[in-house]
Amino acid sequence: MATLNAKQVLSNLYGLMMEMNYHRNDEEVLAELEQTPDTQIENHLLKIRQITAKLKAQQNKYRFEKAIEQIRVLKEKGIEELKRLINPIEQEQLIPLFRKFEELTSEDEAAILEDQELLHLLEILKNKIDDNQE
Amino acid sequence: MIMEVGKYYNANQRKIAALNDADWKVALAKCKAHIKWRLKQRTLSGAHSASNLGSEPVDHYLGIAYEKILDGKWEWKDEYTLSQQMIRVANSYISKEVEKATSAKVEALQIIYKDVEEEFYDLAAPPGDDSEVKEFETRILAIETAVAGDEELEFMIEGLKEGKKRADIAELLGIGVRQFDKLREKIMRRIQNQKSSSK
Repeated sequence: MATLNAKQVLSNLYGLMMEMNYHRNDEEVLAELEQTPDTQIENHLLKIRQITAKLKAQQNKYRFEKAIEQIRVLKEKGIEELKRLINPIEQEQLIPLFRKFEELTSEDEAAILEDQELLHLLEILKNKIDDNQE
Repeated sequence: MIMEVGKYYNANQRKIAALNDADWKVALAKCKAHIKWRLKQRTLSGAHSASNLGSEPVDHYLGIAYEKILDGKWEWKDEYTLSQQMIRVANSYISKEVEKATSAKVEALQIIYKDVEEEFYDLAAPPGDDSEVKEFETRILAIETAVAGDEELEFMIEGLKEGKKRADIAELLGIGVRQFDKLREKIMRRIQNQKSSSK
């Protein structure tokens, strides 16, 4: 077999190191890090925690703003109009939620994202309105 | 500053929620090692001097590798572990930098997606002039001197000279790939020791 030039041999050596690294056992890597902590990795881990927290806060804010906007649109339509969009069986199931919806004040808004039932109602109503408009 | 999220944000977050610090540390360590070797390989062809990036290159690409997964701009595919996915992101961005560095000299490169596992042994451009040939030969000679006396490592270098890869060399040595992988640390230590003693 033809011998490669020295530059390609070096390139292949780095390639071999990459291939070995790619297949390295996770436990072995972790044991090595425990024995010799790497500050660069610790710094990046900190950054990962910061980005994760920031993205989570940002997404919560976005979901909250979207829910508030949906409530405003629905309230403008009026409860009676909304009730007409759903059939009697659905109405029966959703009546307790309607009461919640009718009584909703701006002070309650902060708790909206915690209220999965109310979010579910908003989703149903939004879909009904969308279907109605098509 | 608001961080924009990509279309894979929710799907990626479901996987990320199951991770712990140890998972992240392993992925960071493996991705970091990959970036270092890939940059060394790329530097052979003149791309990627430390100065052509805004920050320290390893930090730069390591940051990109997890940011793209966290913000959902890159899909964390089911078939890959976190480290394998991060390596793919980093590798792709390193290739893009090389493309930018080389496009001034050569015609626009056709972009063909190659998976990282096919790219480990990228063909290096042949050495330019005699001084470059001499420089690479000196470096190989230094590595050969470092491994001299260790049959397995000598065999490894001979295999690389013949264009053999991990599985081929392990087979020729009559050992499994996992056992062969243990030579990684040995060759790095030998080369490191030789560098220290020659200073």
